[in-house]
Amino acid sequence: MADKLLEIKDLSINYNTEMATVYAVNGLSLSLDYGETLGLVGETGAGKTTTCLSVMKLLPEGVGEIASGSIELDGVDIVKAHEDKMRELRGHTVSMIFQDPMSALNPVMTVGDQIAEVLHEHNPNMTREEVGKAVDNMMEMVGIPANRKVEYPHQFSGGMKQRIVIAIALVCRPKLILADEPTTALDVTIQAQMLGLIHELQVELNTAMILVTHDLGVVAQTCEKVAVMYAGECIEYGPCSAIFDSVGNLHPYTQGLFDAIPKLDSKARRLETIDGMMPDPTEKLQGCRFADRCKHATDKCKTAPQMKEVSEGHFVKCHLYD
Amino acid sequence: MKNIGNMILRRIGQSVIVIFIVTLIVFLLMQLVPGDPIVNFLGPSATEEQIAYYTKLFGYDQPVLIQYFKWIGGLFRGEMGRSVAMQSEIAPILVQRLKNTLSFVLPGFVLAVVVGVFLGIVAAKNRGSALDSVISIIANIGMSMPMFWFGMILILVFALNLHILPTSGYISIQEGGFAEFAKHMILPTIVIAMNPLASFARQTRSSMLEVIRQDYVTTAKAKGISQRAITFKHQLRNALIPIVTVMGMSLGGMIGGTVLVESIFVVPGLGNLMITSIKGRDFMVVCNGVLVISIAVAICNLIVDILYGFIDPRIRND
Repeated sequence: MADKLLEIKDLSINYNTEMATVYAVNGLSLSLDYGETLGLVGETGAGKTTTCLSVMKLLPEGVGEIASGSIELDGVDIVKAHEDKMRELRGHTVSMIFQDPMSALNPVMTVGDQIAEVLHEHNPNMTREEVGKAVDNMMEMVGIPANRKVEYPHQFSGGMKQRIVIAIALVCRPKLILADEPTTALDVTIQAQMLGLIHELQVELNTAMILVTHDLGVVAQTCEKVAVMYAGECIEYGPCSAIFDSVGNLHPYTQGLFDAIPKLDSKARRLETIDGMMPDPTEKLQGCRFADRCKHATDKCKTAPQMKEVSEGHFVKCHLYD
Repeated sequence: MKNIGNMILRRIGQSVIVIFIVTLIVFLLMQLVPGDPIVNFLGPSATEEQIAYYTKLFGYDQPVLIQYFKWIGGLFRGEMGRSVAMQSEIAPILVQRLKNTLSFVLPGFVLAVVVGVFLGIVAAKNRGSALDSVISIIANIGMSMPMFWFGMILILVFALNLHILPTSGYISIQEGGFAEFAKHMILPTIVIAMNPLASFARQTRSSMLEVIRQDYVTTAKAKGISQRAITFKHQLRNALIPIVTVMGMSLGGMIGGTVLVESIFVVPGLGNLMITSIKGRDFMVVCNGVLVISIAVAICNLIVDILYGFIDPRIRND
C-alpha cells in the first residue's frame, strides 16, 4: 500500500479547442493521506473541477489532455492507466459527487437502479438480493426511506436528489470522494444539512475527500487541509488551522478571499473585493499569475515564485515570503 | 399503471372519432369524383336498363347519407360491401391485400429500425470522424433517392445481372414455401426500408448527440460502467422519444404509401388495389381501403403513445 492515497505532481492540463489552447491547470502538486479531507478553494475557472476530473481520467474526450505531470491514486499511475483499469477504479476506489443534482441523475431510471448499477459493476458476484439490501441500506444512510427506490429522479426534491447522488458515490465505499461543489446548487438551509451528511458518512466509512468549493466557511467546517487554487496553480496549501488562524503569512490572494467575507462586527457598507480578473487562461504566463491584481506586487513578481514553507506544513507560493 | 390504462382508453376513443371523420370525408369526396363504377364496369355497350339494374342492385340509387350509414352499419357486422369491378365481397380481398403489403412493409420497417438506429449511434459516437461523414452521406442519399429508381437499380443488379433474386412478383408461403416467398420479398423490403432507414439514422444521430454530453452521462462514466451500458442504458433510452415519434409516423406512412414499391415489383398489395379501384371508380373499395390504412396509422400512433410512457416515466405520471 502506498503511504499516500493521492499524489499529484506537477500536473498540467490543457484543453485543446478549435479556437485556442486553454491552460487550465499549470504545475499543480497536491497530496492526500488516507481518510484525510482537503478543501480545494478558488474562484470559477481556477481549475478545481478539471483537477477532479483528471483524477478520474474523465476529462472531456479529445479536448482535455494531461500535458505533463503525474497522478498516483492508491498506488496506481492514473496518467498511464488503461481505460479498463480506470473503470475498475471509478465508483469503486474513487467516486465523485457532482455539482448539480438536478442533471446528474438519469431521468428515465429509478433511483434504486442507479445506485444498484455501481454495485453490480464492481461486485459481479453479489446476488440480486444482496445488491437490493445494500441499496436499501445506503438509502437509509443518506436519509431516504428505502421504499422510495422504485421512484424516478423527478419525484424527488433537489436536496433529496443530492442525497441520491451521494448514495451513488458512496455505495461502494470508495477510498476517495471528489465532491465538486456539492452544495452550490442547493438552497442554504439544505447546504449545511448536506455537508453534515457527507462529513458524517465520510467519517463512518473512513473515506478521504477532496471538497471543491469557493466557500471558505464550508472548508473551515469540514476540512483538515486547504489548498487554494488560482489560475490553475496551487498558491497556498496547509492545515486548516494554520490558514484560518494565520498570523499574517497568507498569500495575498487568500488574504483577499478572507477579506471578501462579510463580517458581522464590521461597520463597512461595502464588501472588500479583489480587483481585476483572473489572467486569460489561453496565455502562458511567466511570472506570478496573481501579480496583476496584487497590492504587494514588485518587479520580483515577473519571475515565478516557488512554494515556501512559512509555518509547519503551511506552504505559500509568493515572493513576499522569500 | 392505472394511468397507462386510462391513457390507452382515452387515445382509443380519440382514434375512433378521427377514423369516423376520415370515413365520412372519404365517402363524400368519392361522390364528387366524376365517373360511375357501374358504367365503368359494364363498358360502353351497356344499355340504360342494365345500368339502372346494377345501380339499384348495389344500392347506388339511394341518397348519399343513407348509403354512408349503410356502409358504416355493415362495418359493425364485419361487412364492407361488394366491389363492383371484382364482383365479390370487399373484406376478404382487403385482408389478403393487406397481408401481402405487410409482408414486405413490416420486415422493411424492422430493417430500417435496426440498421438506422445502429448507424445513428455509430455516427454520434464518432462525431466529426470520416465514419460519421460516410454515414451522413449514406443517409442523405437514402433520403433523396427516388424509390422507383432505386428499385430498378436493384432489379438490374440482383435479378438481371447476378440472377440471384427474381425481378418481381409475389408468391405466398402456401403456394411456394417460405424460401420462394422470402426471395420475392427481399428487394421490396430493401426499397421500402431505404427512406425511413435514412431518417431514423439522422434522427438517432442528432438525439444521441443531444444526450451525449449530459451530466448524467458523466455520472454514469464516474460509476465505472462499460461504454456499452452507457450507450444503451443511459444515452439511447434518453434519446429515444424523438426517435420513436419518427418511427411511428414512418410506419403509418409506409403502410399507406406502398404504391410505388408494389408497382415496381408487381406485388398485389393494398397500394395496387387502391390505384386500380380509383381508376375503376370502385369507390366502396377505395373507402374501405382508406379506412384500413387510417386504422393502421391510428394503431401506430397508439403504440407510440404507449411506448412514450414506457420510455419516459415523466410522461407516464402526467
